[in-house]
Amino acid sequence: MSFERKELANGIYFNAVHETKFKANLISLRFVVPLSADTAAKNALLFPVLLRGSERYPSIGEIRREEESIYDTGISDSVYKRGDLQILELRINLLENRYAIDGMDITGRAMDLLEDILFHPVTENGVFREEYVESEKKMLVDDIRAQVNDKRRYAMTRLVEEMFEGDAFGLSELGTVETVSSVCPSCLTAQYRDVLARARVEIFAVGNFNFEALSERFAAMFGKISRGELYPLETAVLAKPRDEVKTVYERQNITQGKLSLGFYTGHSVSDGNYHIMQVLNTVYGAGVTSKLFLNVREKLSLCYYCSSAENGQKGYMTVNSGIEFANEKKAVEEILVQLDHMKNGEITEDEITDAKLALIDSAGRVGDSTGTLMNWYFACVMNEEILTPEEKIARFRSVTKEEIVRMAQDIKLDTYYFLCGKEDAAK
Amino acid sequence: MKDTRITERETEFGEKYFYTKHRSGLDIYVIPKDFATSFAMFSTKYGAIDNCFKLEGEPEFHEVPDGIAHYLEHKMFENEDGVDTFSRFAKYGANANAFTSGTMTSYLFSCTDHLKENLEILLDYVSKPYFTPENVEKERGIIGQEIRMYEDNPGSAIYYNLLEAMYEKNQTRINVAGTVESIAEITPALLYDCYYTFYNFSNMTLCVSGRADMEMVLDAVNRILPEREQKTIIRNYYSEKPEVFRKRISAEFEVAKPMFLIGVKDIDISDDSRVRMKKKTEMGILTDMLFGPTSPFAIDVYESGLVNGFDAGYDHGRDSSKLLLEGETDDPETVYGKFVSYIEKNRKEGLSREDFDRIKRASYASYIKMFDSTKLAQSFTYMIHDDCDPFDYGEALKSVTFEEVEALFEKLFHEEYYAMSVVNPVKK
Repeated sequence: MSFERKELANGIYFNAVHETKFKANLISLRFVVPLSADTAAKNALLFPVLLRGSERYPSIGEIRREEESIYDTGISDSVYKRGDLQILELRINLLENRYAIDGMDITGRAMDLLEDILFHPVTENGVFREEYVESEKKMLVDDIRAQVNDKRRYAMTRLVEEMFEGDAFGLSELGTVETVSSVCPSCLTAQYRDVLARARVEIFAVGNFNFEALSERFAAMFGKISRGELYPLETAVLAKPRDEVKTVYERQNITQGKLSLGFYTGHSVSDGNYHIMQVLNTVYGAGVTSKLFLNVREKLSLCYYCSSAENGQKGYMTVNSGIEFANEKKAVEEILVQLDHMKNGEITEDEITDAKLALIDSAGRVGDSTGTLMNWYFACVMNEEILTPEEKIARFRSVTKEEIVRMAQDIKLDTYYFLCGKEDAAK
Repeated sequence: MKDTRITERETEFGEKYFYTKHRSGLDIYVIPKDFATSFAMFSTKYGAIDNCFKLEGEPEFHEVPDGIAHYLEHKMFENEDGVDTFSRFAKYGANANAFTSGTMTSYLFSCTDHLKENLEILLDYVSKPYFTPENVEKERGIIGQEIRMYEDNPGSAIYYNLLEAMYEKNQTRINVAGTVESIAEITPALLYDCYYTFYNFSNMTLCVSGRADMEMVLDAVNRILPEREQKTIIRNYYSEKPEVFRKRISAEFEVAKPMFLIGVKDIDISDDSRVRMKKKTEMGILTDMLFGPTSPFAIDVYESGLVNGFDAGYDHGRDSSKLLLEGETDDPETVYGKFVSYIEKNRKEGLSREDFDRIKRASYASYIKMFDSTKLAQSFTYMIHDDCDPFDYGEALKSVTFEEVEALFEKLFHEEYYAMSVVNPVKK
């Protein structure tokens, strides 16, 4: 396996991950833009609208039939946030050419389709077709409203909203019902041009390609657009915790309460010792040998799940659990007691070894799928530190108990969110 | 191991597996892959639907509470020496888990190192039940919360409701986790009864993919599995009529928009596994032709904005066969009406041969992509539990004809086989 990276044009990078053991390759384009209230909705709508029709394939049916014809080469879009940045992705999963029964150049045809979708959208009088824009707006609004359907994820999203109120990271990467509704075809078209001109673009090709030819093809594609001033791309790490814990209770007609706690850590990937936080988090609450699993679930039988997660962009940690409403106090108490144990050094060597082995195992399997390889190297380029999984493994091994304890002492409860039942609901 | 016959098979695209039937009756598959990750799955053909059974020679059927297979899965992690199974795996960096479905219970792990040691732990803990009144009691709270979690999940409710509408008596309708009431009846004695019935090795499979070889796997199996008498299980499944039990079922949840799930019931399941495999390939292609991403139906409901998140799926195995359509819409009855008239239109005008060719090729491509997965042992297990050889499946996929798919279309779709489950938003 090898990794190479080069800049094709101002802010447009081609990342080649060469690996021959897969039958299907991956091409992904990630457009990195600032997450802001003004543009989040427009950005979220961009790729869905592009996928509605291009000059050669002017309807979604024609696009999908072409995808299916090239050996089920799916082109999918997604949008997510990473720190204060919004990432817009187009991803293509394609069978390697040598598996084509009829000698088809699968990669070539997929690239033709991609180019048409990305650079030749269906327009009317120079703007996106209104029908497509309106239809995608309606679906995005539905998606935003449907976030309430999955209570576990809903609670986690709401916690972040509350904890980061007033901060870019508190915004939804989908925009809001209001901002989506106010998008018009001409303002979306203007945003499309702006993103093409100013976004940082990380292109990934993972698998077995003629990388030289592929990078030339991308260079030619992007060479046709004129690039402008690049967007400023920065993420602000939490500077300090709240003076007083922010407490939010939300009520719904449900039978199980969802507890979501947000903790300030202040530590981020850019500090260079974030691997300590990852071991800390694994000892505390990630996985089935963690303190939270063994105590809140196994010892006290309070829940089916109780786990923690760290975020190395913004410097915070969360704990999530599904519990009986009446057990709220008991569960919170135990979660905090276990955190105190971390701070007081009540950690066994076994706990640390188990946690390290789990992290080492997960880094060790990065090379086993095109998707994990891409995510690994994307994180590297965003963190501005290219590391192999082996180098990261060495860092995990080096973490000591003292380092964990010292870092744990910086952790402080910041936001308390509980999704609970209606007061008048029967227990 | 002179008495063990090992079969080797290879595909034209370079994939390989080794198979043997162990003297205990256990079916063992080893699939070598050039991945850092190895994956092992030890499974029994026992799931939520097996609530009424006896061993050959026993006079009476045993009836057990709903959710017991899943409860048993949770309790297998308990060991007599008090050491938790997860922490045993953790010593070797493995990622372990287990799950229960309607028809199987699986114990699995994946790891990048110490495959041998981890495999030994897997074989050991699954072959040593240890149930006490205390440890069985302790689990009731945890599983109770797991059940509550699903009770608040509209996606789970809409699915089980549909099963209750489609099937009148058949055990397919049983919720895998059971209910808070049904699991209250579970005792150590009942768990042992189920364990010694269904965890006999002739009812089980072991699949290992990754950096594994048959010699190492067989050596571990020989050393660790206890001698156990092979038994024949007689399962009592309640038979079903072809028509659905109820046409409609609905529930209310805190959701933004109504959700629908349409089911097409099919009870034409052959006892011959080769016939089932053939039909499965035909059903996959037919489902995609009619309701896949390029189908006129999927495109129509997308472009008109009638449905958000439309998806179609099917299953066809020994114990169940059905086609499912789902999505979110303001008007489930309109979607249902469209579905019925779309089928009638296709019946009149015939299916498209061009669609068939394109989709058949795409299906073969996604079959090949399956071999990129580090969880190949899991895909193998699903097929093997239905007596379907994963390599034969690829061949069967290539040999499906348009005429066969047409004939299946004629048989599968009739209004009395359709049911719809709906979740409506709570009225404020």
